[in-house]
Amino acid sequence: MYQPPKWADRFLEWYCDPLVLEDLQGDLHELYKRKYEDRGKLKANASFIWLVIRSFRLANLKSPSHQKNTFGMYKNYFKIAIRSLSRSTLYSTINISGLAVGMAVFMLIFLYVKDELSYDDYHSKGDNIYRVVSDLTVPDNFFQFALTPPHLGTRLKEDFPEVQDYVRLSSLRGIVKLEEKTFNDEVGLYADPSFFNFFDIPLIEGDEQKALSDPFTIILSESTAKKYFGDEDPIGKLLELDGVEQRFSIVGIIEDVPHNTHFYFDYLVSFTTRESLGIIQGDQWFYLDYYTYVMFPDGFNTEELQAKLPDFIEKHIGDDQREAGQTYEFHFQPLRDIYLKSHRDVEIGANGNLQYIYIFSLIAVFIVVIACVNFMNLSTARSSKRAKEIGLRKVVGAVKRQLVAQFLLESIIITVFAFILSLALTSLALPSFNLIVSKELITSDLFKNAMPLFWALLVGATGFLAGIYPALVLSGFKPINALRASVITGRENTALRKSLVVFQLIISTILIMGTIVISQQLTSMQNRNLGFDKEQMLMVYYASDQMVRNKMEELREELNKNPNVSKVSFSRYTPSTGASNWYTTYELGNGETQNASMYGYLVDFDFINAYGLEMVAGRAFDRSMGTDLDEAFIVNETAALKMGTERLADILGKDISQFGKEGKVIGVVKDFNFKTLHSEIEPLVIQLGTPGNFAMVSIKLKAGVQLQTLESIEDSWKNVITTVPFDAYFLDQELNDRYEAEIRTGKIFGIFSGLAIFIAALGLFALSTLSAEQQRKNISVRKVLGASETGIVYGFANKFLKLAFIAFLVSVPATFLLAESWLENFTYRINVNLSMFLLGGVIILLITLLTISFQSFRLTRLNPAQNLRSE
Amino acid sequence: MRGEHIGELEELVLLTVGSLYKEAYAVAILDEILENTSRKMDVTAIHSVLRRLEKKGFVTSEMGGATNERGGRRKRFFSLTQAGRRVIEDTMELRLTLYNKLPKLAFVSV
Repeated sequence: MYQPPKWADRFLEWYCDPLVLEDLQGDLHELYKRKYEDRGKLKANASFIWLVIRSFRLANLKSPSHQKNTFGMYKNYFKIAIRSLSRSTLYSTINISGLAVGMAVFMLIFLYVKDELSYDDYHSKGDNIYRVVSDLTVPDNFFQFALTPPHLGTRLKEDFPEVQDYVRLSSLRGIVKLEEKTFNDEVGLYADPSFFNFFDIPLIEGDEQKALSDPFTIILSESTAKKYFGDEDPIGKLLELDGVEQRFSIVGIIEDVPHNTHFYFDYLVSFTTRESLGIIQGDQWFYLDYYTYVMFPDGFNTEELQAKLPDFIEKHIGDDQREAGQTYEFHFQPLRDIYLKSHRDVEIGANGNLQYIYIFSLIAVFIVVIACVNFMNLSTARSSKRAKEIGLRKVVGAVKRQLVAQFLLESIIITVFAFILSLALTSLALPSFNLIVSKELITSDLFKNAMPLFWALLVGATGFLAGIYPALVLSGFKPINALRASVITGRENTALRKSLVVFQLIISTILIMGTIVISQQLTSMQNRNLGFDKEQMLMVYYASDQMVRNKMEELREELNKNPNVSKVSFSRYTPSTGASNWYTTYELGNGETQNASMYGYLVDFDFINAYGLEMVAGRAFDRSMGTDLDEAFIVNETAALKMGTERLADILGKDISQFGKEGKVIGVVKDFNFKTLHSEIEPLVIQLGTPGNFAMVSIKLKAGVQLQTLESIEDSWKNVITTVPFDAYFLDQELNDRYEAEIRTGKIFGIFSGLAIFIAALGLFALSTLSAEQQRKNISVRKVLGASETGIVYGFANKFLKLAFIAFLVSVPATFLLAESWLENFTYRINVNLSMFLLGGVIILLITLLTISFQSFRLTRLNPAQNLRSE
Repeated sequence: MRGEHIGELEELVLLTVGSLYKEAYAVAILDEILENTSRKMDVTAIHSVLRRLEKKGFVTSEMGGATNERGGRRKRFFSLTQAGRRVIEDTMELRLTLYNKLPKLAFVSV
């Protein structure tokens, strides 16, 4: 053999157009052989290589037009896909709409989760900003506050060079007065001038360097400025803030706080105002009212600083701590983690919950999977319709790989249709979804940045997931069987098909049962006896308005004159607002004195009566007892227990002091939920306050008084008070609003489980239709032989109900575990019981039954003559 | 006249294809030219000339039967088309006409 260098040969074969290759290569080999004989191997090799290189020219190269022409094949795939879609409208509709609903849910949840995860990610220095928070250990108790003492930031910056800067924020809420107008319940923040260094909320007007430095200056947010002044220029105008005599001058306009910020404000007030007002004095280490944020250098590790904190605390607070018997610990929270991961006492705004994000993401994935399962089930179940096509394709020379590709392509085409439809569905559903989740999500966010690529991947992955199994099954047909006249029923897949249906039903059942558990928990929270009377209670918040404070008794009289009003009470807090935590000294049952931090209420004489609080020992406050105002205290049962009494009555007459007042316990009130149901009832001390302490009025209406009579109460109000608008709200409504996060979760959960069930039911419906079709002859024979209608319905429904029953059995323990872990978040929780599972089980059985009933009744109606005549 | 013009090498290959008649494949053409003109040519040059001629429609080609040499690869045999024949005749005629106009004896003295 004369073998020219193989690599040259291979190179030639690689580049050369197959049409030219044979004779060219032949010629080269012939010449090689001749040269080999004449001149030897070396020369022959050299000449061969030279010729191969010389032949490397455009004319000899492989050209695209000379490659295999598969275009026609793919065109055919498309054509067949469209035809088989349009041939069976029902199945295509179910497939596409199921997938579309699934993907729309996915998109909605995606938008929601993305928004939740985007909190505070727009601050350019966000990675370097940390919030300092305090853990406070007091005797018998432990608090995790988001708040810090007033000068913590200053001291940290002085002691540690790593702390480059700090900013303090502090909430202020209340009435804003302009010349003519008054606005109630506006949200403000005190802020240090370094605010602009920390947060990327730019000033529109004003000077960043000076804006927050002078006392009694205020910056309005853009929309607040619009609300107060319309189109006028607000700069330099004056306004009055709740309870502060000196007026504030407006020195700037700031952009509205982006909604994905963990705090919110309508206006910013300079921190120096607080100092001028004398609210901050000295170091006051046990006065927690400030949110402190610190800035570290790039890549700083907070653990180093954390390790130095014990010494820092000892240096500054050591003596104070020992005296008060309380111990601080400070921690650093990354700015971006605050919204989702921080759940401390007194957060600056309502935070999100990482757990819900996980739950929703899981639901999103489940729903897409359910829709995929529909597709898989229907495609394999309908495989008999494609058998002939597959057989023929194989006979003509299609290999398995090509058929798999064909069916995958088909499922991706369907997914693309579904995707387009789901975009339309998402834009339609978004406004209502926004209402439920109270966000402002927009559809165009679905296509920001690299998102189109993500969706392309999702469509591809969904199409692949949904299509790969049917593709493998279908392409596995033996042509000889496929082309025989007999119909392939695909019976070998029934086990898998059944388990897929069971899988869908399990997810649906878990979602149904979950919805039941959630809604029962919410109802029980809303209907729970809180220990006070929340019905028909109208509240008006007036903060520290001087006019209301001065005319308190006059207002009380005027309101009491109103025939709709039954009781009126002024207080600093109410059960919907929480309470202050104050340093308290009390005498134990055995006579010793102890210090602790306890919640305190400042109320008037009518408070206990108005709220229907029950006295379990001693007496309530009494106007006729002259000393009550100066030295009477009432404690709740929990506080009484804490004060170490065995019998409640023993505590009466014990010494107690709080909020600057020293006195004796005169009564014990039955425990009531003065905070939200997320936490247990804690010790509470109630004392009488002065008009200067109060901030709210509670107006108890007579039973049966309707909303429209509010006007008459407003008139009474306006007769006395001109400074504060009558912005009243009902206590029970306000209490419910505190469970907004839970109620919202319940709603979202309910809606999405509804959709999941809808998709699963669609699949079940299509499957039952197919199954009914395949059993026509079977049933016809039975009918001829005299089967009863009930027998036929039973026989048909039986299989499906069995599946639903299996799903029910599996879902019970799964739901139990999930529900238990969710309910652990609540102090006052319902117990998971059998009736919830049974209810869920009945619902899923009913849905199954309803879904297949249409087909089973059609079967009883069929005419055996029509179905059997071709036999 | 466009398309009917052929170059010297093309003419030579075309003539050789014609003269070899049924046996005209690249290596044979290479040998024939070498024999008749002592001109050493590269087989790749022959290939590209043949392709050009085929494109112009002066030759056609078809694959022959399997061979024992050259690893069983078939040869591509070329043959003259009518157009190819005519272009040879046209060229010859043109030359002959011009040749006949040549003075019987002509010298240019330097």
